[in-house]
Amino acid sequence: MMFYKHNKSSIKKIFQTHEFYLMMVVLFLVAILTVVSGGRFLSFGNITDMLASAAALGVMAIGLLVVIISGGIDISFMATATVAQYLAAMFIMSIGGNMFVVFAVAIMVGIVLGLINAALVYNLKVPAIIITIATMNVFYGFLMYFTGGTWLYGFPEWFATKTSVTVLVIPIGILVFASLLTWWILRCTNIGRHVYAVGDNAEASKRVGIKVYRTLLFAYAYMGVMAALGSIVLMYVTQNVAPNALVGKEMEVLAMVVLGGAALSGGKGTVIGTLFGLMLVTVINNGLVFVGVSSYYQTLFMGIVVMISFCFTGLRGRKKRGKEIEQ
Amino acid sequence: MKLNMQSSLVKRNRDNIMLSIILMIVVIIVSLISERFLSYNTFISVTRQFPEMGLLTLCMMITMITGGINLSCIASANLSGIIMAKMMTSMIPKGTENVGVVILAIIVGISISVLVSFGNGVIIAYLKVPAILVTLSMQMLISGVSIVITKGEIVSGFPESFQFIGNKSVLGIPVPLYIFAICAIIMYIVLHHLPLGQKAYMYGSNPTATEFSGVNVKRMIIKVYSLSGFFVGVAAVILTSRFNSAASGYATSYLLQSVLIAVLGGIDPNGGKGKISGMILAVLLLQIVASGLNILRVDQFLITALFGLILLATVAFRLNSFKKFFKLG
Repeated sequence: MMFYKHNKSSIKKIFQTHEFYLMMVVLFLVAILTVVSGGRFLSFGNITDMLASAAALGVMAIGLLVVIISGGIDISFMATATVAQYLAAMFIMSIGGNMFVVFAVAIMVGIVLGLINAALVYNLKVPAIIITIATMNVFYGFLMYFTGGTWLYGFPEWFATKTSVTVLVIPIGILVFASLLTWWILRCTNIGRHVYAVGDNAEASKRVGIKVYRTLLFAYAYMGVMAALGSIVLMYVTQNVAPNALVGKEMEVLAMVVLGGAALSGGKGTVIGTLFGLMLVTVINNGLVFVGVSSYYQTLFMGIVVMISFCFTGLRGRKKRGKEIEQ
Repeated sequence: MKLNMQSSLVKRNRDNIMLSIILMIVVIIVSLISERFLSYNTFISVTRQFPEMGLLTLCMMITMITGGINLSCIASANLSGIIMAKMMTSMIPKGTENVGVVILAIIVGISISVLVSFGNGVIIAYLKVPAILVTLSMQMLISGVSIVITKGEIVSGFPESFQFIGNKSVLGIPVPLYIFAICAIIMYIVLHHLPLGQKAYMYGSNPTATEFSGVNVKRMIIKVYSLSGFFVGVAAVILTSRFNSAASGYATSYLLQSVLIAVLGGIDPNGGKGKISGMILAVLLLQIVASGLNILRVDQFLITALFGLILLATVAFRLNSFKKFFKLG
């Protein structure tokens, strides 16, 4: 349904999209924060800080978006990211390599773990959330068991050298690259359109001749790739690998994607929406610190925002359903 | 049709039979490896953890029967625990007893959990937001409230009468086990002898048909989630009493375990299926596996990974016995 809605590029339609509302909320928040902080919020330093710190989670959110559009969900991606990060770090510390090798190793790990998820989800016919909760524990449990939870740091020089330029360019560059790639795949390739179709109605897509299994394999493997990319960005920014740092932040990323207008029932969601969701979460987190709210209130605030946005989405969905029935 | 009914009856029992057999095999293996396993101490340690796990699974189970899920249970249990702890530490001077305040605190604690879950139910029923999303954001919100109240600290130091609930035994059986038994009986009556249970099963297996058959679905969902909150509140009382403290980050690993136990016990995450007997067997199985592995000094994280594998294996095994249904697809 949403396909032709977007192709009708009349201005009226744009005003009705979820992304437009979201943009308004983000702009409104930014305006308030800028006024309250006397312009410091929109300073170059703060903007780049926000972008650099949000980039890794943003990349993962974009990966999660693809899985959610395909009608599934992946709770295990932070565990995947941790495993990928850890193995890549061990690889460069023992064998060596270059920037390309770090990413290649991590991405391969991500793909393998993603394929495992997809195979289980498709073949076991159980809701993806159950499967990925299980695989999250398997991945994370084994990693912690075999590594003993030790932190890794002291990377080779070529990875450890950070200049003020690279520390911005690498995270933001990868976020931009991931967004553009995903946007292109979802809009312009067969597999991308299949992801939407499978998420909208798996049975119908099977009858039209779409290979559902292959599409799911792609979606979860893509999630693995994005989790790996995000984890390496984090590894570069923090210059260490802490196995317990990422697991537990799944919900924050999921909130970004759902805030961005993706429906958990599948078949709906855009990269731009997810980026706005990312912005909203980042602006709130950063803004609270700026306004001087105690960090104790951070979780509460996020909870309220996420809850309101979910309710809002629910209400909008209900209105739409009502209109359809009237017609 | 008749044949179908019969085979499904066999299958339903097969689940419980399978669990009992696995349970026996596990007990035999672990007691062969370690002599210390078959002792009163193991019995006590299993029966100590069994009730709280069981209560959390009850809360997960009743929502899963309607096709939903309650991911906010741990956060809400922690909030209840914190409120109870705050009440008791501020109203009862250290070292003294005041049973009235303890009872009041317990009532307030349980009603907070009921209230939180009632909120979940209202949003799920009236705004039609998926239960996963509602309870997930509720979890964030509630743990946010907990952090604000405690400033991240641990509240501890309760009167003896409160510690009695979680730590003492009557007639050789730990008190929590009695509480769990009462709650399980309540759940059994609700599921099999009250209209609410029938409606919940109906809604879980076919929401649209249930709605069109004249069931007040909204009221049913709100009741189901409130009941789920009641179990969470009772679990919170036991947990807080057993730990003798309360904080915002306690027992987070129980969330996955309760989902795992529910699925292991034969509750269909898609809704409409699940029995208490299966669930109790599953809790028992998992607790015995866990304490067996603990006695064998297996790493805690390996146990987590094994739980995940057990969940996947159960799902795969169950699929195998239903294979002919899926061969069509």
